[in-house]
Amino acid sequence: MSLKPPSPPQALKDLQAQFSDAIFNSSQDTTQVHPAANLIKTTQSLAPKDRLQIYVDDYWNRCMGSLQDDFSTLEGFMGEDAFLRLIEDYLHHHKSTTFTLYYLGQDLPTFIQTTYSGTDKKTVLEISNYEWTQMNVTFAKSEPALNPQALKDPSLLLTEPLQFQPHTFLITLNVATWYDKTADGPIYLMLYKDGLNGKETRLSEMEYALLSLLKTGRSISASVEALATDESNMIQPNEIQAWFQRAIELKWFIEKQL
Amino acid sequence: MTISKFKDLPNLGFGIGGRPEHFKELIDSSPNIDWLEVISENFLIEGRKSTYYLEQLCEKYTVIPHGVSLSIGSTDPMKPEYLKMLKGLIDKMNPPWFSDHLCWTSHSGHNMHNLLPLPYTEETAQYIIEKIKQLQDMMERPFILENVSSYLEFESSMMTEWDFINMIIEGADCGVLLDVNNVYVSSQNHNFDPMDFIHAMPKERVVQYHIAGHTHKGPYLFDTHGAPICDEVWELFTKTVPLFGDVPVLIERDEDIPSLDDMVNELDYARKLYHESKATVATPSA
Repeated sequence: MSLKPPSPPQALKDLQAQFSDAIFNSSQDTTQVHPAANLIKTTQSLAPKDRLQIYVDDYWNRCMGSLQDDFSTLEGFMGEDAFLRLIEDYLHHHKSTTFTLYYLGQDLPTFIQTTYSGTDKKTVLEISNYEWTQMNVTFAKSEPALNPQALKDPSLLLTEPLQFQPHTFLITLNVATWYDKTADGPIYLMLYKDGLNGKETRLSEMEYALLSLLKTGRSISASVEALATDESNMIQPNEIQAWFQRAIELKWFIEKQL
Repeated sequence: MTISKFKDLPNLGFGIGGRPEHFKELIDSSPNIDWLEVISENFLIEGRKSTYYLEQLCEKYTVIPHGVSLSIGSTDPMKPEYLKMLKGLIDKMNPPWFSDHLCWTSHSGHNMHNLLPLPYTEETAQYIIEKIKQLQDMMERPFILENVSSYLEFESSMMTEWDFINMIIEGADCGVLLDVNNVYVSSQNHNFDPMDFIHAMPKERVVQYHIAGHTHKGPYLFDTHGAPICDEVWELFTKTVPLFGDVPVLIERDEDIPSLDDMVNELDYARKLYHESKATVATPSA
Protein backbone atom coordinates (compact mmCIF):
# COMPACT_ATOMS: atom_id res chain seq x y z
CA MET A 1 0.00 0.00 0.00
CA SER A 2 2.99 2.32 -0.18
CA LEU A 3 3.28 2.74 -3.95
CA LYS A 4 4.27 6.19 -5.16
CA PRO A 5 1.10 7.93 -6.37
CA PRO A 6 1.17 9.09 -10.01
CA SER A 7 1.54 12.82 -10.62
CA PRO A 8 -1.67 14.49 -11.72
CA PRO A 9 -1.59 16.72 -14.82
CA GLN A 10 -1.37 20.42 -14.03
CA ALA A 11 -4.47 21.24 -16.12
CA LEU A 12 -6.52 18.80 -14.07
CA LYS A 13 -5.15 20.23 -10.83
CA ASP A 14 -6.11 23.73 -11.90
CA LEU A 15 -9.59 22.65 -13.02
CA GLN A 16 -10.34 20.79 -9.81
CA ALA A 17 -8.99 23.60 -7.63
CA GLN A 18 -11.26 26.11 -9.35
CA PHE A 19 -14.28 23.84 -9.44
CA SER A 20 -14.01 22.80 -5.79
CA ASP A 21 -13.59 26.44 -4.80
CA ALA A 22 -16.87 27.17 -6.57
CA ILE A 23 -18.59 24.36 -4.69
CA PHE A 24 -17.20 25.14 -1.26
CA ASN A 25 -17.42 28.90 -1.44
CA SER A 26 -20.35 29.78 -3.71
CA SER A 27 -23.03 28.42 -1.39
CA GLN A 28 -26.51 29.04 -2.75
CA ASP A 29 -25.95 32.68 -3.61
CA THR A 30 -26.68 32.75 -7.34
CA THR A 31 -26.04 36.46 -7.85
CA GLN A 32 -22.28 36.01 -8.31
CA VAL A 33 -20.83 34.00 -11.21
CA HIS A 34 -17.81 32.01 -10.07
CA PRO A 35 -14.85 31.97 -12.51
CA ALA A 36 -15.21 28.15 -12.65
CA ALA A 37 -18.19 28.74 -14.95
CA ASN A 38 -15.63 29.61 -17.65
CA LEU A 39 -14.45 26.00 -17.59
CA ILE A 40 -17.85 24.74 -18.68
CA LYS A 41 -19.14 24.29 -22.21
CA THR A 42 -21.90 26.63 -23.28
CA THR A 43 -25.09 24.99 -24.51
CA GLN A 44 -28.51 26.20 -25.57
CA SER A 45 -30.44 24.57 -22.75
CA LEU A 46 -28.48 25.86 -19.75
CA ALA A 47 -25.86 28.53 -19.16
CA PRO A 48 -22.51 27.39 -17.67
CA LYS A 49 -23.26 29.19 -14.41
CA ASP A 50 -26.54 27.28 -14.10
CA ARG A 51 -24.81 23.96 -14.77
CA LEU A 52 -22.22 24.81 -12.13
CA GLN A 53 -24.98 25.74 -9.71
CA ILE A 54 -26.46 22.22 -9.97
CA TYR A 55 -23.30 20.85 -8.36
CA VAL A 56 -23.07 23.68 -5.83
CA ASP A 57 -26.68 23.12 -4.73
CA ASP A 58 -26.22 19.37 -4.60
CA TYR A 59 -23.21 19.70 -2.30
CA TRP A 60 -24.85 22.16 0.07
CA ASN A 61 -28.20 20.37 0.15
CA ARG A 62 -26.53 17.04 0.84
CA CYS A 63 -24.26 18.34 3.61
CA MET A 64 -26.86 20.54 5.27
CA GLY A 65 -29.46 17.77 5.01
CA SER A 66 -27.06 15.39 6.69
CA LEU A 67 -26.45 17.81 9.57
CA GLN A 68 -30.19 18.45 9.88
CA ASP A 69 -30.68 14.69 10.32
CA ASP A 70 -27.86 14.41 12.86
CA PHE A 71 -28.81 17.50 14.91
CA SER A 72 -32.60 17.48 14.68
CA THR A 73 -33.09 18.39 18.36
CA LEU A 74 -30.81 21.38 17.97
CA GLU A 75 -32.71 22.49 14.88
CA GLY A 76 -35.98 22.12 16.79
CA PHE A 77 -34.62 24.26 19.62
CA MET A 78 -33.04 27.00 17.45
CA GLY A 79 -35.63 27.09 14.69
CA GLU A 80 -34.88 26.19 11.07
CA ASP A 81 -33.54 29.58 9.89
CA ALA A 82 -31.11 30.08 12.76
CA PHE A 83 -29.95 26.48 12.57
CA LEU A 84 -29.34 26.64 8.81
CA ARG A 85 -27.32 29.86 9.24
CA LEU A 86 -25.25 28.16 11.93
CA ILE A 87 -24.47 25.03 9.92
CA GLU A 88 -23.77 26.94 6.70
CA ASP A 89 -21.22 28.98 8.63
CA TYR A 90 -19.92 25.77 10.19
CA LEU A 91 -19.51 24.07 6.81
CA HIS A 92 -17.51 27.02 5.50
CA HIS A 93 -15.04 26.37 8.33
CA HIS A 94 -15.28 22.58 8.61
CA LYS A 95 -15.45 20.74 5.31
CA SER A 96 -15.87 17.00 5.26
CA THR A 97 -12.52 15.22 5.49
CA THR A 98 -13.68 11.60 5.41
CA PHE A 99 -15.33 9.19 3.01
CA THR A 100 -18.62 9.37 4.89
CA LEU A 101 -21.03 12.09 5.93
CA TYR A 102 -21.43 10.45 9.34
CA TYR A 103 -18.53 12.46 10.73
CA LEU A 104 -19.55 15.78 9.21
CA GLY A 105 -20.83 17.14 12.53
CA GLN A 106 -17.89 16.07 14.67
CA ASP A 107 -16.57 19.61 15.09
CA LEU A 108 -19.93 21.34 15.55
CA PRO A 109 -19.82 21.45 19.38
CA THR A 110 -16.31 22.95 19.29
CA PHE A 111 -17.41 25.40 16.61
CA ILE A 112 -20.33 26.52 18.77
CA GLN A 113 -18.05 26.77 21.79
CA THR A 114 -15.61 29.05 19.97
CA THR A 115 -17.81 31.13 17.66
CA TYR A 116 -21.44 31.17 18.77
CA SER A 117 -22.46 34.31 20.62
CA GLY A 118 -26.22 33.90 21.16
CA THR A 119 -27.68 34.31 24.64
CA ASP A 120 -28.75 30.67 24.45
CA LYS A 121 -25.17 29.51 23.89
CA LYS A 122 -25.09 27.15 26.90
CA THR A 123 -28.19 25.32 25.70
CA VAL A 124 -27.09 25.24 22.04
CA LEU A 125 -23.71 23.84 23.06
CA GLU A 126 -25.25 21.28 25.38
CA ILE A 127 -27.69 20.00 22.76
CA SER A 128 -24.96 19.77 20.13
CA ASN A 129 -22.78 17.78 22.53
CA TYR A 130 -25.68 15.51 23.39
CA GLU A 131 -26.55 14.82 19.74
CA TRP A 132 -22.95 14.27 18.72
CA THR A 133 -22.62 11.79 21.60
CA GLN A 134 -25.68 9.97 20.25
CA MET A 135 -23.88 9.71 16.90
CA ASN A 136 -20.79 8.34 18.62
CA VAL A 137 -22.89 5.62 20.23
CA THR A 138 -24.02 4.39 16.81
CA PHE A 139 -20.44 4.34 15.44
CA ALA A 140 -19.01 2.39 18.37
CA LYS A 141 -18.83 -1.37 18.28
CA SER A 142 -20.09 -3.82 20.89
CA GLU A 143 -17.77 -6.28 22.59
CA PRO A 144 -18.92 -9.47 24.35
CA ALA A 145 -20.57 -8.35 27.59
CA LEU A 146 -19.50 -9.19 31.13
CA ASN A 147 -21.39 -12.10 32.67
CA PRO A 148 -20.60 -12.23 36.42
CA GLN A 149 -22.00 -15.75 36.69
CA ALA A 150 -19.36 -17.00 34.27
CA LEU A 151 -16.51 -15.63 36.37
CA LYS A 152 -14.26 -18.00 38.32
CA ASP A 153 -14.02 -15.58 41.23
CA PRO A 154 -16.84 -12.98 41.22
CA SER A 155 -15.49 -11.33 44.37
CA LEU A 156 -12.64 -9.93 42.27
CA LEU A 157 -15.18 -7.64 40.59
CA LEU A 158 -14.92 -5.39 43.62
CA THR A 159 -11.18 -4.96 43.44
CA GLU A 160 -10.33 -5.28 39.72
CA PRO A 161 -10.90 -2.43 37.23
CA LEU A 162 -13.85 -2.98 34.89
CA GLN A 163 -13.75 -2.14 31.23
CA PHE A 164 -16.72 -0.33 29.67
CA GLN A 165 -18.19 -1.06 26.23
CA PRO A 166 -16.88 1.39 23.57
CA HIS A 167 -20.50 2.50 23.02
CA THR A 168 -21.06 3.80 26.59
CA PHE A 169 -20.90 7.56 27.13
CA LEU A 170 -21.62 9.42 30.37
CA ILE A 171 -22.86 12.98 29.98
CA THR A 172 -24.22 15.70 32.24
CA LEU A 173 -26.91 18.11 31.08
CA ASN A 174 -26.52 21.27 33.13
CA VAL A 175 -29.16 23.39 31.39
CA ALA A 176 -31.39 20.33 31.14
CA THR A 177 -34.80 22.03 30.72
CA TRP A 178 -34.55 21.58 26.95
CA TYR A 179 -34.41 17.84 27.73
CA ASP A 180 -36.98 17.74 30.52
CA LYS A 181 -39.12 20.79 31.23
CA THR A 182 -39.52 19.74 34.84
CA ALA A 183 -35.77 19.50 35.48
CA ASP A 184 -34.70 21.59 38.50
CA GLY A 185 -31.02 20.68 38.35
CA PRO A 186 -28.51 18.80 36.23
CA ILE A 187 -29.53 15.58 34.50
CA TYR A 188 -27.05 12.71 34.40
CA LEU A 189 -27.20 10.26 31.51
CA MET A 190 -25.58 7.11 30.25
CA LEU A 191 -25.85 6.82 26.45
CA TYR A 192 -25.24 3.31 25.17
CA LYS A 193 -26.19 0.78 22.54
CA ASP A 194 -28.84 -1.87 23.08
CA GLY A 195 -28.40 -4.40 20.30
CA LEU A 196 -28.25 -2.21 17.20
CA ASN A 197 -30.05 0.80 18.64
CA GLY A 198 -28.86 3.78 20.64
CA LYS A 199 -30.45 4.11 24.10
CA GLU A 200 -30.04 6.33 27.15
CA THR A 201 -30.73 5.99 30.85
CA ARG A 202 -31.00 8.67 33.53
CA LEU A 203 -28.68 8.20 36.48
CA SER A 204 -28.62 9.60 39.99
CA GLU A 205 -25.81 12.04 40.73
CA MET A 206 -24.02 9.48 42.88
CA GLU A 207 -24.41 6.67 40.35
CA TYR A 208 -23.03 8.99 37.66
CA ALA A 209 -20.08 9.88 39.90
CA LEU A 210 -19.37 6.23 40.61
CA LEU A 211 -19.55 5.21 36.95
CA SER A 212 -17.32 8.15 36.01
CA LEU A 213 -14.68 6.91 38.43
CA LEU A 214 -15.02 3.36 37.12
CA LYS A 215 -14.48 4.73 33.63
CA THR A 216 -11.14 6.13 34.71
CA GLY A 217 -9.99 2.56 35.44
CA ARG A 218 -10.59 2.37 39.20
CA SER A 219 -12.16 -0.69 40.78
CA ILE A 220 -15.56 -0.54 42.49
CA SER A 221 -13.93 -0.57 45.91
CA ALA A 222 -11.51 2.21 45.00
CA SER A 223 -14.30 4.28 43.43
CA VAL A 224 -16.57 3.96 46.46
CA GLU A 225 -13.67 4.90 48.70
CA ALA A 226 -12.87 7.94 46.58
CA LEU A 227 -16.47 9.10 46.74
CA ALA A 228 -16.87 8.63 50.46
CA THR A 229 -14.94 11.77 51.37
CA ASP A 230 -17.71 13.07 53.59
CA GLU A 231 -20.80 11.66 55.22
CA SER A 232 -23.19 13.02 52.61
CA ASN A 233 -21.45 10.89 50.00
CA MET A 234 -21.77 7.63 51.88
CA ILE A 235 -23.22 5.05 49.53
CA GLN A 236 -25.26 2.18 50.85
CA PRO A 237 -24.16 -1.31 49.72
CA ASN A 238 -27.67 -2.09 48.44
CA GLU A 239 -27.50 1.02 46.18
CA ILE A 240 -24.18 -0.09 44.72
CA GLN A 241 -25.58 -3.56 44.17
CA ALA A 242 -28.65 -2.17 42.38
CA TRP A 243 -26.57 0.11 40.12
CA PHE A 244 -24.15 -2.67 39.32
CA GLN A 245 -27.01 -5.04 38.59
CA ARG A 246 -28.48 -2.55 36.12
CA ALA A 247 -25.11 -1.94 34.44
CA ILE A 248 -24.69 -5.70 34.00
CA GLU A 249 -28.21 -6.13 32.61
CA LEU A 250 -27.70 -3.29 30.13
CA LYS A 251 -24.35 -4.79 29.11
CA TRP A 252 -22.22 -1.73 29.83
CA PHE A 253 -19.14 -3.78 30.79
CA ILE A 254 -16.93 -5.93 28.61
CA GLU A 255 -16.34 -9.63 29.26
CA LYS A 256 -13.38 -10.15 31.58
CA GLN A 257 -11.27 -13.10 32.67
CA LEU A 258 -11.21 -13.09 36.49
CA MET B 1 -4.56 -6.33 -23.69
CA THR B 2 -5.62 -8.76 -20.92
CA ILE B 3 -9.32 -9.39 -20.88
CA SER B 4 -9.65 -13.03 -19.86
CA LYS B 5 -10.28 -12.09 -16.25
CA PHE B 6 -13.52 -10.42 -17.30
CA LYS B 7 -14.70 -13.26 -19.52
CA ASP B 8 -14.35 -15.64 -16.60
CA LEU B 9 -16.41 -13.59 -14.16
CA PRO B 10 -19.69 -15.20 -13.11
CA ASN B 11 -23.08 -14.09 -14.39
CA LEU B 12 -24.75 -13.24 -11.11
CA GLY B 13 -28.23 -12.82 -12.60
CA PHE B 14 -30.61 -10.14 -11.33
CA GLY B 15 -29.95 -8.15 -8.18
CA ILE B 16 -30.82 -5.04 -6.25
CA GLY B 17 -28.85 -2.44 -4.38
CA GLY B 18 -28.98 -3.68 -0.78
CA ARG B 19 -30.05 -0.85 1.52
CA PRO B 20 -30.28 -0.93 5.33
CA GLU B 21 -34.08 -0.62 5.16
CA HIS B 22 -34.23 -4.08 3.61
CA PHE B 23 -31.34 -5.95 5.28
CA LYS B 24 -33.37 -7.84 7.86
CA GLU B 25 -36.05 -8.83 5.36
CA LEU B 26 -33.41 -9.91 2.86
CA ILE B 27 -31.92 -12.20 5.50
CA ASP B 28 -35.18 -13.51 6.96
CA SER B 29 -37.10 -14.13 3.73
CA SER B 30 -36.26 -15.57 0.34
CA PRO B 31 -37.15 -12.94 -2.26
CA ASN B 32 -36.56 -13.61 -5.93
CA ILE B 33 -33.22 -11.77 -5.89
CA ASP B 34 -30.03 -13.42 -7.14
CA TRP B 35 -27.43 -11.04 -5.72
CA LEU B 36 -26.87 -7.75 -3.96
CA GLU B 37 -24.67 -4.74 -4.35
CA VAL B 38 -23.95 -2.61 -1.28
CA ILE B 39 -22.33 0.78 -0.78
CA SER B 40 -18.81 -0.06 0.43
CA GLU B 41 -18.49 3.01 2.63
CA ASN B 42 -21.52 1.99 4.71
CA PHE B 43 -19.56 -1.05 5.88
CA LEU B 44 -16.30 0.64 6.74
CA ILE B 45 -17.47 1.83 10.18
CA GLU B 46 -17.48 -1.12 12.51
CA GLY B 47 -20.31 -0.14 14.84
CA ARG B 48 -22.91 0.72 12.20
CA LYS B 49 -26.03 -1.39 11.79
CA SER B 50 -25.02 -2.25 8.23
CA THR B 51 -21.83 -3.92 9.43
CA TYR B 52 -23.82 -6.13 11.78
CA TYR B 53 -25.79 -7.60 8.87
CA LEU B 54 -22.88 -8.02 6.46
CA GLU B 55 -21.89 -11.55 7.39
CA GLN B 56 -25.45 -12.87 7.15
CA LEU B 57 -26.01 -11.11 3.82
CA CYS B 58 -22.81 -12.59 2.42
CA GLU B 59 -23.80 -16.07 3.59
CA LYS B 60 -27.08 -15.87 1.68
CA TYR B 61 -26.19 -13.80 -1.40
CA THR B 62 -23.24 -12.86 -3.53
CA VAL B 63 -22.63 -9.29 -2.42
CA ILE B 64 -20.62 -6.82 -4.48
CA PRO B 65 -19.01 -3.79 -2.78
CA HIS B 66 -19.78 -0.64 -4.76
CA GLY B 67 -17.93 2.48 -3.67
CA VAL B 68 -18.80 6.15 -3.90
CA SER B 69 -15.71 7.76 -2.34
CA LEU B 70 -12.68 6.26 -4.06
CA SER B 71 -12.34 9.51 -6.02
CA ILE B 72 -10.21 7.86 -8.68
CA GLY B 73 -10.23 11.02 -10.83
CA SER B 74 -9.16 13.37 -8.05
CA THR B 75 -5.75 14.99 -8.17
CA ASP B 76 -5.48 13.96 -4.51
CA PRO B 77 -3.66 10.68 -4.03
CA MET B 78 -5.86 7.78 -2.94
CA LYS B 79 -6.04 7.76 0.87
CA PRO B 80 -4.05 4.85 2.35
CA GLU B 81 -6.38 4.57 5.34
CA TYR B 82 -9.43 4.31 3.08
CA LEU B 83 -7.70 1.75 0.84
CA LYS B 84 -6.73 -0.33 3.84
CA MET B 85 -10.32 -0.39 5.09
CA LEU B 86 -11.63 -1.17 1.59
CA LYS B 87 -9.13 -4.01 1.24
CA GLY B 88 -10.26 -5.39 4.60
CA LEU B 89 -13.89 -5.26 3.50
CA ILE B 90 -13.16 -6.89 0.14
CA ASP B 91 -11.16 -9.67 1.77
CA LYS B 92 -14.01 -10.26 4.21
CA MET B 93 -16.72 -10.29 1.51
CA ASN B 94 -14.70 -12.18 -1.11
CA PRO B 95 -16.66 -10.75 -4.09
CA PRO B 96 -15.82 -11.63 -7.71
CA TRP B 97 -15.21 -7.91 -8.38
CA PHE B 98 -15.59 -4.48 -6.81
CA SER B 99 -16.63 -1.18 -8.33
CA ASP B 100 -16.65 2.60 -8.06
CA HIS B 101 -17.29 5.58 -10.32
CA LEU B 102 -15.31 7.37 -13.01
CA CYS B 103 -15.34 10.74 -11.32
CA TRP B 104 -13.74 12.77 -8.55
CA THR B 105 -15.28 13.41 -5.15
CA SER B 106 -12.56 15.14 -3.17
CA HIS B 107 -10.01 17.92 -3.42
CA SER B 108 -7.17 18.90 -1.09
CA GLY B 109 -8.38 16.36 1.43
CA HIS B 110 -11.93 17.68 1.48
CA ASN B 111 -14.76 15.43 0.38
CA MET B 112 -17.65 16.81 -1.67
CA HIS B 113 -19.77 13.64 -1.44
CA ASN B 114 -20.76 14.13 -5.04
CA LEU B 115 -19.78 12.32 -8.23
CA LEU B 116 -18.10 15.13 -10.15
CA PRO B 117 -17.37 14.94 -13.88
CA LEU B 118 -13.91 14.96 -15.44
CA PRO B 119 -12.46 16.68 -18.49
CA TYR B 120 -12.15 14.09 -21.23
CA THR B 121 -8.47 14.49 -22.10
CA GLU B 122 -5.72 12.01 -22.81
CA GLU B 123 -3.54 13.24 -19.95
CA THR B 124 -6.42 12.85 -17.49
CA ALA B 125 -7.07 9.35 -18.81
CA GLN B 126 -3.37 8.40 -18.42
CA TYR B 127 -3.34 9.68 -14.86
CA ILE B 128 -6.44 7.64 -13.95
CA ILE B 129 -5.04 4.56 -15.68
CA GLU B 130 -2.01 4.63 -13.39
CA LYS B 131 -4.21 5.00 -10.32
CA ILE B 132 -6.45 2.09 -11.32
CA LYS B 133 -3.43 -0.15 -11.98
CA GLN B 134 -2.21 0.54 -8.45
CA LEU B 135 -5.70 0.00 -7.05
CA GLN B 136 -6.15 -3.38 -8.72
CA ASP B 137 -2.71 -4.50 -7.54
CA MET B 138 -3.59 -3.55 -3.97
CA MET B 139 -7.04 -5.11 -3.93
CA GLU B 140 -6.04 -8.27 -5.84
CA ARG B 141 -9.49 -8.30 -7.39
CA PRO B 142 -10.95 -7.15 -10.73
CA PHE B 143 -12.16 -3.56 -10.62
CA ILE B 144 -15.02 -2.23 -12.71
CA LEU B 145 -15.67 1.42 -13.38
CA GLU B 146 -19.11 3.02 -13.62
CA ASN B 147 -20.04 5.86 -15.95
CA VAL B 148 -21.70 8.71 -14.01
CA SER B 149 -24.58 11.02 -14.84
CA SER B 150 -23.36 14.53 -15.51
CA TYR B 151 -24.86 17.99 -15.79
CA LEU B 152 -21.97 19.75 -17.49
CA GLU B 153 -19.09 19.16 -19.87
CA PHE B 154 -15.76 20.92 -19.69
CA GLU B 155 -14.43 23.19 -22.43
CA SER B 156 -11.10 21.39 -22.16
CA SER B 157 -12.55 17.99 -23.14
CA MET B 158 -10.93 16.66 -26.31
CA MET B 159 -13.02 13.53 -26.85
CA THR B 160 -16.41 12.00 -26.11
CA GLU B 161 -17.18 10.42 -22.77
CA TRP B 162 -17.29 6.96 -24.34
CA ASP B 163 -13.86 7.41 -25.97
CA PHE B 164 -12.53 8.57 -22.61
CA ILE B 165 -13.95 5.50 -20.86
CA ASN B 166 -12.56 3.19 -23.52
CA MET B 167 -9.12 4.72 -23.25
CA ILE B 168 -9.11 4.19 -19.47
CA ILE B 169 -10.49 0.67 -19.31
CA GLU B 170 -8.14 -0.56 -22.04
CA GLY B 171 -5.13 1.18 -20.51
CA ALA B 172 -5.88 0.06 -16.96
CA ASP B 173 -7.25 -3.35 -17.94
CA CYS B 174 -10.40 -2.96 -15.90
CA GLY B 175 -14.07 -3.63 -16.55
CA VAL B 176 -17.13 -1.46 -17.12
CA LEU B 177 -20.17 -1.12 -14.93
CA LEU B 178 -22.52 0.19 -17.59
CA ASP B 179 -25.16 2.34 -15.93
CA VAL B 180 -27.89 2.56 -18.52
CA ASN B 181 -29.79 5.24 -16.61
CA ASN B 182 -26.66 7.38 -16.37
CA VAL B 183 -26.12 7.07 -20.11
CA TYR B 184 -29.69 8.19 -20.68
CA VAL B 185 -29.49 11.10 -18.22
CA SER B 186 -26.21 12.38 -19.68
CA SER B 187 -27.47 11.94 -23.25
CA GLN B 188 -30.44 14.18 -22.49
CA ASN B 189 -28.33 16.72 -20.60
CA HIS B 190 -25.67 16.90 -23.32
CA ASN B 191 -27.76 16.20 -26.38
CA PHE B 192 -26.18 13.03 -27.75
CA ASP B 193 -27.66 9.74 -28.93
CA PRO B 194 -27.40 7.27 -26.03
CA MET B 195 -26.92 4.42 -28.47
CA ASP B 196 -23.66 6.03 -29.65
CA PHE B 197 -22.41 5.58 -26.10
CA ILE B 198 -23.77 2.02 -25.74
CA HIS B 199 -22.39 0.85 -29.10
CA ALA B 200 -18.94 2.16 -28.15
CA MET B 201 -18.67 0.02 -25.02
CA PRO B 202 -16.38 -3.00 -25.58
CA LYS B 203 -18.45 -6.18 -25.42
CA GLU B 204 -15.83 -8.17 -23.54
CA ARG B 205 -15.39 -5.62 -20.74
CA VAL B 206 -18.98 -4.87 -19.73
CA VAL B 207 -19.26 -6.80 -16.47
CA GLN B 208 -22.42 -5.41 -14.92
CA TYR B 209 -25.45 -3.21 -15.68
CA HIS B 210 -27.11 -0.66 -13.46
CA ILE B 211 -30.63 0.54 -14.10
CA ALA B 212 -32.34 3.17 -11.98
CA GLY B 213 -34.74 6.09 -11.95
CA HIS B 214 -34.05 9.80 -12.26
CA THR B 215 -35.89 13.09 -11.79
CA HIS B 216 -36.95 15.75 -14.29
CA LYS B 217 -35.70 19.17 -13.21
CA GLY B 218 -37.04 21.27 -16.06
CA PRO B 219 -34.11 21.94 -18.38
CA TYR B 220 -32.15 18.91 -17.24
CA LEU B 221 -32.46 15.40 -15.78
CA PHE B 222 -31.09 14.72 -12.32
CA ASP B 223 -29.79 11.32 -11.25
CA THR B 224 -31.59 10.86 -7.94
CA HIS B 225 -32.13 7.09 -7.91
CA GLY B 226 -35.32 8.16 -6.22
CA ALA B 227 -38.01 7.08 -8.67
CA PRO B 228 -39.14 3.97 -10.55
CA ILE B 229 -37.30 3.31 -13.81
CA CYS B 230 -38.96 5.29 -16.60
CA ASP B 231 -40.05 3.98 -20.00
CA GLU B 232 -37.16 5.66 -21.82
CA VAL B 233 -34.58 3.88 -19.65
CA TRP B 234 -36.39 0.55 -20.01
CA GLU B 235 -36.33 1.05 -23.78
CA LEU B 236 -32.62 1.84 -23.76
CA PHE B 237 -32.05 -1.22 -21.56
CA THR B 238 -33.83 -3.51 -24.04
CA LYS B 239 -31.71 -2.08 -26.86
CA THR B 240 -28.53 -2.55 -24.82
CA VAL B 241 -28.97 -6.12 -23.61
CA PRO B 242 -28.73 -7.85 -27.03
CA LEU B 243 -25.43 -6.10 -27.79
CA PHE B 244 -23.53 -7.73 -24.95
CA GLY B 245 -23.11 -11.21 -23.47
CA ASP B 246 -24.75 -12.50 -20.31
CA VAL B 247 -24.29 -9.52 -18.05
CA PRO B 248 -25.64 -9.29 -14.48
CA VAL B 249 -28.34 -6.67 -13.95
CA LEU B 250 -28.80 -4.55 -10.85
CA ILE B 251 -31.56 -2.10 -9.91
CA GLU B 252 -30.47 0.81 -7.72
CA ARG B 253 -32.64 2.90 -5.43
CA ASP B 254 -31.19 5.46 -3.00
CA GLU B 255 -34.05 7.82 -2.18
CA ASP B 256 -37.72 7.20 -1.39
CA ILE B 257 -36.81 3.55 -0.91
CA PRO B 258 -39.86 1.40 -1.69
CA SER B 259 -40.83 -1.87 -0.04
CA LEU B 260 -38.77 -4.94 -0.87
CA ASP B 261 -41.82 -6.37 -2.66
CA ASP B 262 -41.90 -3.34 -4.96
CA MET B 263 -38.18 -3.69 -5.64
CA VAL B 264 -38.65 -7.38 -6.46
CA ASN B 265 -41.54 -6.52 -8.82
CA GLU B 266 -39.34 -4.02 -10.65
CA LEU B 267 -36.57 -6.61 -10.81
CA ASP B 268 -39.01 -9.21 -12.20
CA TYR B 269 -39.86 -6.73 -14.94
CA ALA B 270 -36.16 -6.23 -15.70
CA ARG B 271 -35.71 -10.00 -15.84
CA LYS B 272 -38.63 -10.35 -18.28
CA LEU B 273 -37.37 -7.56 -20.55
CA TYR B 274 -33.83 -8.93 -20.46
CA HIS B 275 -34.89 -12.40 -21.58
CA GLU B 276 -37.30 -11.06 -24.20
CA SER B 277 -34.56 -8.83 -25.62
CA LYS B 278 -32.11 -11.71 -25.80
CA ALA B 279 -34.74 -13.98 -27.39
CA THR B 280 -35.57 -11.40 -30.05
CA VAL B 281 -31.98 -11.41 -31.20
CA ALA B 282 -31.59 -15.17 -30.94
CA THR B 283 -34.65 -15.77 -33.17
CA PRO B 284 -34.07 -14.39 -36.67
CA SER B 285 -37.18 -12.80 -38.16
CA ALA B 286 -38.78 -14.50 -41.17
